[in-house]
Amino acid sequence: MNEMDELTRMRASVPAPPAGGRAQTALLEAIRAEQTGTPFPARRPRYHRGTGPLSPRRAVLAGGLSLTVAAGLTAALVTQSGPAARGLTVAELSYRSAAAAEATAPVPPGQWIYSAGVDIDGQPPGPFQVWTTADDSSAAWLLRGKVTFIKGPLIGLPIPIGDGVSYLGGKPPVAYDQLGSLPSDPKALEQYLAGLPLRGFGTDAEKAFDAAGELLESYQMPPQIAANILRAVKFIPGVTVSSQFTDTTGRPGTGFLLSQGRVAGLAIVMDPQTFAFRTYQVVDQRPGQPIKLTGPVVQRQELVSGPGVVPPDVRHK
Amino acid sequence: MTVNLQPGRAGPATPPGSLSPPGPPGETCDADLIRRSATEPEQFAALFRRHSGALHRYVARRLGPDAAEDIVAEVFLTAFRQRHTYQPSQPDARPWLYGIATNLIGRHRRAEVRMYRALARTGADPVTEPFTDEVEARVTAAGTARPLAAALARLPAAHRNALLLVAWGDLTYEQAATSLGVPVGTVRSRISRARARLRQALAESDISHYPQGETP
Repeated sequence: MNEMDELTRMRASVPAPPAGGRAQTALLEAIRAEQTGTPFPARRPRYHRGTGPLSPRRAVLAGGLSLTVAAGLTAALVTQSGPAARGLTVAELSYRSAAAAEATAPVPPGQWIYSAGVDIDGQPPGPFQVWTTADDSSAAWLLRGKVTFIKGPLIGLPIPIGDGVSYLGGKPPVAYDQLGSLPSDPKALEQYLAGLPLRGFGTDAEKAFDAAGELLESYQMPPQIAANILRAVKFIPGVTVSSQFTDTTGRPGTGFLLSQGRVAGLAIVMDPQTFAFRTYQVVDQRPGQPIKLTGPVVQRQELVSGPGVVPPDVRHK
Repeated sequence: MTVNLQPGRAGPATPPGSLSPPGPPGETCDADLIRRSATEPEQFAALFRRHSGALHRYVARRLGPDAAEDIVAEVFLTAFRQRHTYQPSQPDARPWLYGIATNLIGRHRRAEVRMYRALARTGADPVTEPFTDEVEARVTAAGTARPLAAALARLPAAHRNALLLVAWGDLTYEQAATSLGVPVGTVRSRISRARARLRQALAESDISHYPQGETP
C-alpha cells in the first residue's frame, strides 16, 4: 500500500455529510431570491464597519454622547462645507473617500472596537452588539445575554443553532502585519490587488475590487493605507459610482459599483455626507431601481478597553 | 416553486482519470446546467445535488465537518453568484468548484495544519473520531495516519493543495491544474515532491510495513 492509498483511506473514514444543512438552505434562499427578484446576501455581509472609521471627533465623543447627537453633529459639520454625493465621478469619489480615511485617527492593532446596530435579516433579527480588534485578530459577541470571545476573525454575525452557535471565520486577502508592505502608488496597488490569489475565477477587476473591499471591511487600518486602497479603486476597470444604495434601515449611501453580469455587482459603500467607508457587499442591481444593501447595519462604534466592555451609557441587552 | 437540493450521491461524480462529463450517459453536463441557470436559476440546484456530497467530504477531511458546512455553503453561493464567468468549454464544473473551495480553505490554513498536528501527536482524528467506534479503525488512525498527518502539516500549502485535490478531491492532474490556475506541469511537480515527503514520513515511521490494523 503506497502513500496515495493511505491518503485515500484517510478520506474514506470521513462521515457522510448531513442531509439538508446550512449549505442547502443558503443556496435555496439565493435561488428563490433570484427567482422572485429580491436581493440576497451571496456572501454573508459582515458587521463591523457601518459608521465608518473612528474619526478624532468621534473618538472624543466616545465618552458618552448618544449616537443621535454624534451623528447629527458630524453630519452638520460636513454639510456646511460638504459636497453632495450625487453626480460624483469615480475619481472624485475616490479622492473624497480617501481624504475621509486619511483624516481618521490611527488605531493600534490590538485596540478593541465596540459595534452596535441592527440586523433585520439576522437570526434572530434585531439589535446586536459585537467587539473586534482593529487587526481582526479577535472578536466577541453578545448572544442570549452572554459574551462569547474567540481568537480569530469573525465574518458576519454568529447564528444560534439549538444550544450552540455557528459563526464563519476566514482571513482577509492580506494579513494585517503585511499591510505596510503594500505598494503606496495607487496604480501599482491596483495591479497588486488584481494579482492576489482569491476565490473563484473572477476577472482581474473583480479580484482587485474584492480584495479592496475585503481589506476595508476586515480591518480598522492605518489611515494612510486605507486611503491608498480607496485611491487604487479608481484604477479598476469597469468601476462606476452609484448614489442609489439604501441599507435595511433606510439610510442612503453612495459608493463604487463593479457590475457582475446583468443583475449582480460588488459595492464599496460610503456615507454620502462624510464619505467614510461603511460596507462592502455583493449586491443585486436592477436597472433603474435602488440598490438594496442587506445584512447588519452598524449604528454606533466606540473604542473600548476589551471584549464585553460597553460605553458608559449602554447596557447589555 | 420547489427546488430539490438533496444531494444525489456522496461519492465522486467522476471516477479519477475519467474525462467524460459527470453523471450517467444522457445526463446534462455541468456546463449546460450552468448556462441554463442564467435564465432558470433553479437549474443550479442540480449542480448542488451532483457535487455537494463529495465536496463536503473533501472539505470535511481538510477542515472538519463544522467548517465544511460553512465552506460548502460559501462555495455554492460564490459559484451561483459568479456563474456568468463560468467557461462553457469546461463540461465538468468540479475543477471550478474545488478551486473556489481551495481558496476558501486557504483562509483556514492554520486551522488545517493545527488539525494535522493534533492527529499526528495524539492519533485521535478530529474529523472522524466522534464517528469511529471500531477499535480497528482507531488503531489504523493511530498507525498510518499519524505520520501522514505530520507530513501533511509540514508540506508547503501549494504542494498540499495539489496533492489533496487529486487524492481527496478525485480530480485529474489536468483538473487540479485548472482548479489552481497553474500549468499541469507545475501540478505534477508539486505532487511528486509532496508524495516523496509522504513516502519518507511513512518509511521513517516504519508503519507501512505492518498490515492494516496492527501497530509495532
